[in-house]
This record gives sequence, C-alpha cells and structure tokens, in this order.
Amino acid sequence: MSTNALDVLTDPTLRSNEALRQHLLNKTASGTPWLIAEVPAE
Amino acid sequence: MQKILKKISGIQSLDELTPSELANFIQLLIASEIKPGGPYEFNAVKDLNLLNDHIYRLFAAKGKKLNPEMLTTPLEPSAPVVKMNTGTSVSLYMSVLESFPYPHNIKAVLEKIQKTDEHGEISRITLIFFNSLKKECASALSLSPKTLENYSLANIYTWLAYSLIDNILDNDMDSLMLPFVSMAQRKIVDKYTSAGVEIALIETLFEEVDSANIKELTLRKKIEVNVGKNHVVIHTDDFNDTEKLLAEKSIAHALGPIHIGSLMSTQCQATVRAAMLLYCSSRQLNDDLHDWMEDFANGQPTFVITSLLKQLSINEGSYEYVHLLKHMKDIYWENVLEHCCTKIQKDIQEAINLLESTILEKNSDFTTSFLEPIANSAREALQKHEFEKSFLKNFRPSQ
Repeated sequence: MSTNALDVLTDPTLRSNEALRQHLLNKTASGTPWLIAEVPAE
Repeated sequence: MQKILKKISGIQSLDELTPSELANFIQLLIASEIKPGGPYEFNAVKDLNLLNDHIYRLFAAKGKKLNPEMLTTPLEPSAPVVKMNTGTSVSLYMSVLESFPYPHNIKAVLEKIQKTDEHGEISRITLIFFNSLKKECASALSLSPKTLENYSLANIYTWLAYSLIDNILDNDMDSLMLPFVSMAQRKIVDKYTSAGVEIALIETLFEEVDSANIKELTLRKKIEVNVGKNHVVIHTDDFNDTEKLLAEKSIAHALGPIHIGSLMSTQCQATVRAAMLLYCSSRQLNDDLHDWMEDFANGQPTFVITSLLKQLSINEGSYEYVHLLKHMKDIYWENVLEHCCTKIQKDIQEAINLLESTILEKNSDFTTSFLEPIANSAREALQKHEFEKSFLKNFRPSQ
C-alpha cells in the first residue's frame, strides 16, 4: 500500500478529491521513495 | 456502526485493506474526528481509549503519526535497522585512493561511489557474474583472484572518471580536476589489460559511452531551463535518441561480464552484451524516474524527461517553467511512471532469460542481487501507484 494518501487524516486541506490528487501527484513526482535511490542514504 | 467498529478492532495491519476499504476507513475516521489527526469519537463505543490506541498503532506501523494523545501506553521503540555491508571492499577503495597524487582531492567523490556500491554493484559485478556462471562455463575459464581484483579496480576507476566528468560538466566541480580524469582513464586501461581484456573491447565499449555522452550533451543544449526566471526554451522536437542513451551511457560498467562472455564464444559475448544493455538501461531508468524533477531543472534530457515532453507534444518554443512542470507532473502520474516501470520489469525479465539460457545458472547471485531488485523496485512502485489511483477513485470526502 501507499502511505501518501494517509496524509488526509492530519491535513484537512487535502480533503477534496482534487487537492488529494495534487498531493499524491506531487509526492510521486518529487521522488518515489520506494525506488532504488542512486546514492543510498547514510 | 457497531459492525464497522468491530471490524476496525480486528484489523491487524493496514496492508489487509483494499484501496476502497482504506478509503472508507479513512472517511469514517474523518467523520468521527475530534480534531484532525485524532483522537476519534464513536458514540456506540464504550472503550474509546482502547480503540484510539489501536488506530494510532495501525497508522504508526505505516509511518503515519497521528495525535500521540491517542496512545494509552507509550509506543515501543522500533528495533534499530542494522545495515549489512554486503559487498563493498574497503581495501579496494583505499588502494584506488592511494594510487593518486593529491588523494584528498578525490576522496569525497570516491566515498560517494563507495556508498553507491553498497551491494557490490561496482566493485563486485564481475566477481559475482563469474561466480554465477553455469558449471560447464565456469570450468572452461580460469580467472585468478588477482585478475578478478583487476576487474574490480578497473570498474572503480571507471566510475571515478565518469563521476568527475559529470561533476565538471554540471559545474559542480572545478575543471582543475580534469588531470584526475586522465589519470583514472590510464588506470582503467592498465587494470583491464592486466585482467586480459583486449584493447579493442575496451575501446569499443568506452567509445560507446563517450558517443552517448556527446549525444546527450548536444541534446542538453536544446533544452534551456532557468528555474529562477520561470523560463524554459525548447530548441527541438526530436527526442528519439534518448532511449538508446539509457544503456549506452553506462555500458562500460558491464565490461567485465561482457569480457567473460567473449571468452566463451562470440555468440555468448553478443548475448551477454544484449543482457547488460538491458541491465544498464533499467538501472539508469530507475534512477531517472527518481530524479526527474531535478534533472528537468538542470535541463538534462533523460529518457523520462523526453518521454514527458513527447507525451505533451511539446514543440520548439518558449514556455513558463512552472506551467510546464505542472503538466509534466500530471502526465508522469497518469502515464509515464507506469510506462517506465512496466518497461523496467519487461527488460529485466528479458535480461534474465538471455543470461540463463546461455551462461548463468538459474536464480544465481547475479540474478537475485543485481537484476531482480531492479524489477522488484519497479513492481513495487507500480503497485503503490495503482493503490493510490484506486484510493483516490474511492475517496469521497464529505467536507
């Protein structure tokens, strides 16, 4: 499952379909954390 | 209501829920919240504290922290993650560092490469490939530990040379570092020839890498991005070369395995080369998917960037950066992420099929440590993306 969608619980501004879509889209676009990162975190 | 609440108490992990069930659960919580992030109030429930505690722990297990006042007892600290060093050879990196004059100048770059090499992707690729050979292939070859060490050192020097070139081209490093590139390149040739690799193979693969870099740098001049001025100028609408560049840019990384293939037969070399092109391409695409916004801000014409521009039918002209980025994010979400993750899985499967039908044992270390993790990562990304899309479809907030 993805945890990005859970942010609606703590952030009321995400509680419209379009706001949540934009949030998920931005989170996905700004770095899909499940992918192998080029340089592993220390 | 009672039935739903009973169901919540019975949930052991959020992973049990489908996107639709999770959307319903979250909607119920939102409708019952005392304040955003909890606690939650349900009229029909006697022991609210216990239920809120359970809800807190369900979400905390997925990394989502709700209001800590929902807890009846403190959360137990999770066990520290023990990081295994599965592949990097410290002594090899020390030896590379000490082989240069003024080693302090390249220490930071080399340390970054060493971190990338966490599972031996750089220093142990040839060793693991060799250990994964079918018995009949391995018995036909005799590679001494010294030869295998030379392959390892050559690949570290390769990464060093190309990391320095990238840094200089990106203006992240002073051109005073150029002599280190020359030195590293001489050492690459020295180590590979000491491992028995013919000059012709070294030249062929490195020319492929350098040609790819020339093509990419030429294309880079055709995408001018100025984030500060909110301005993008596109000087071309021909982005067709970038898929090939994915693999060609890094094929020298797989010189060791390709050489081992050549020791078996010409046909075998061709097969290993084809498989390694798919491996290098998938690795690069995985990285590019992760970094695409940064790459776009730097005007890097990666396959992901050019796919986004092509999907948007962007022609030559001037654009507002913010406006274009918004459309690119949309198309990334709707199409390109899925397309690229599917491509990675398909290409890695093809690489496995090619290698296992000729030279490698089935489920060898090379497959499980180098190839499968890339496909698994893409599969997981795709599953999470599909989960989010489905969640969104089922999420009908009442507010």
